[in-house]
Amino acid sequence: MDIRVRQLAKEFNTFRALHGVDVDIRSGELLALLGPSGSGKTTLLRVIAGLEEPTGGQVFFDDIDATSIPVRERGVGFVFQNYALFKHMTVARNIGFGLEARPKGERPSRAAIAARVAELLDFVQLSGLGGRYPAQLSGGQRQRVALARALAVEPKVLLLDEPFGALDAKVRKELRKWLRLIHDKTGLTTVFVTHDQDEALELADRIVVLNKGLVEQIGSADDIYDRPASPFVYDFIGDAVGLEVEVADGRATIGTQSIPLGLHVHDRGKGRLYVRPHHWQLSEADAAHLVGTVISQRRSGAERRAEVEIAAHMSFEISLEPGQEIATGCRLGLAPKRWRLFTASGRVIDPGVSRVPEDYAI
Amino acid sequence: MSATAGSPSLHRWPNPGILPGFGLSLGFTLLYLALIVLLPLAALAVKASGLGFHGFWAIAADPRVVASLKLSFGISLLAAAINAVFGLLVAWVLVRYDFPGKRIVDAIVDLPFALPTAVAGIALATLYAPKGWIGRIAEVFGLKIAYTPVGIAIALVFIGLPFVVRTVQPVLADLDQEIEEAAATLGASRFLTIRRVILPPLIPAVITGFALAFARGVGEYGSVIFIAGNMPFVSEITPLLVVIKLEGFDLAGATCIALAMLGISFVMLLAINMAQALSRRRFGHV
Repeated sequence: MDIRVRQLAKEFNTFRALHGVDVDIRSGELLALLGPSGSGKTTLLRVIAGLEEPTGGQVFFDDIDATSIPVRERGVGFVFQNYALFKHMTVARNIGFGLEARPKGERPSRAAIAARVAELLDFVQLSGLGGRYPAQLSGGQRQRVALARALAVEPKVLLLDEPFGALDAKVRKELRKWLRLIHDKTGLTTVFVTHDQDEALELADRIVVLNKGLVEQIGSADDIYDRPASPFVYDFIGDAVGLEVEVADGRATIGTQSIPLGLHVHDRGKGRLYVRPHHWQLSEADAAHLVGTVISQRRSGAERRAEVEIAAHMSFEISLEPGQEIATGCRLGLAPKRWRLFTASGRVIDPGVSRVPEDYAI
Repeated sequence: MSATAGSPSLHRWPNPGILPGFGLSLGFTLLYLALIVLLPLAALAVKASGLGFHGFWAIAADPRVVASLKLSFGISLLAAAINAVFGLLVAWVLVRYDFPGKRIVDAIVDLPFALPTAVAGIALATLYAPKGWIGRIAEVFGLKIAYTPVGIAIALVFIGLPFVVRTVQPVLADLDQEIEEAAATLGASRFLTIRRVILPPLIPAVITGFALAFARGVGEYGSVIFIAGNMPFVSEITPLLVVIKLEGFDLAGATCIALAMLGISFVMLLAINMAQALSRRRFGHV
């Protein structure tokens, strides 16, 4: 089932959590809602589920306007960040709850419910734990029970609110892979909320980046990482430095230094030039347009990072090969191999992109 | 013992852990309970034992005493049950909703604790007496409240309310509201959600509140005697009977009745506590 969200707005007293959000969720896709806290991502998920009533806009399930359908009848599977398991019920009763809650005529027989519960326990790899109580399970196991419980009612769409937020890093990685597997097996339209960009980039087919109740960008991991649509997305996803520059005559001026952008840049005025740490070409200081001084360096996992100062109180990080050691205090020439310029007038200039992908929404 | 401390379940005397203080605190607890609770009760038992079993039975099985015991325990159970239901409701409203004056309402709940019981009794008697504000209206419908068991029930409901509210309130506040949302997404009706999801975790606390309200009701004297009318066989509570015996210098008779009351109370509270422990095992995986 595909979901269309149209001009969705939600206000809590004076706080505007969402203002006019449009998202098309394709049938069977795994979509991530990504954003910092307060960006409205959880609110959006809860409005789709029917747990929150929007103050404006509509939610369509296929061609049906679902905005006013109560949560009970909406047929969504919802997985809560803190599992929200019924602690006084066994794992099996938890999973079977949705089936037992059906009105008399539609309720499956006891045996049918037990069979479905056993099948789901097997599906989430918790066979044999049906008689336990949630308190007797680990965090990862609880999350899987919560998922099995949501799947038991055969929902049309699966919604997960920060599903791995409360778990430690290792379990999180395992469950991530496993969620992908579940999604591929069930083929359900799945939407999950996360503030963890790695999780979104690794897991989702497409990502919706939200900020202050607005959609900043919708696209694949490649789109989001390689072609950020706004300074916000650049700042939020991956590392990048956004330099305040003055653009004129095809050059970007930073303080007393200037970088040639190419002859095709005819814009003038202020702008922000974004460059990722590994997109700097290093050279001898003498012949370079932009020169900086290495003020510190450190080893970070698979790479080496150096802090380079290009003017007083203006410094940023560049990425080096681990074996490439540069003495602190050394002067370097810097040239951006890839960059993106956001002009004050709202134009995006990127030498690496010849066309603007269709998915762009700014 | 410390050599096998790794498997405490094998011992009847569980390993209290590495932090010091177990011996001292347990010793103090036992001594304190013995001095404050057991010693007076033992004195009561010793005093009553002077009568011998037949003497005791003659007094305890006196129809007037039996009637008063039935009344005291029956009405206390009824009042505690009423408080269990409505106290839960009050706790629910206080925890779940925000409204102007909520703090004041919250403070009002404690008033029956703070008020001298005689004051409460006089106030209730004035209200429910045939000439009182409510008594007058009730009389129109042919109902008599003051000076009947109904009046006793009202007094006991009044003094027992805070026990249920205050025991249920914190448990309810700790209850994760997401479980209600989870039930809703699974298609459960509101009624089913309350019955199957919200109430079960609250049951141990409700039973505790019920037991406290019940125990308080059985021992209550001040607020009841003003509204009860104190007619033997109809509205005479056991504590009053004890006082009557005392005023007639029948110390042995008074202790006898008191001992009977104590025995019944103890058995009932023990039963309630066992029910509570059972419910905690059943619902308490929280």
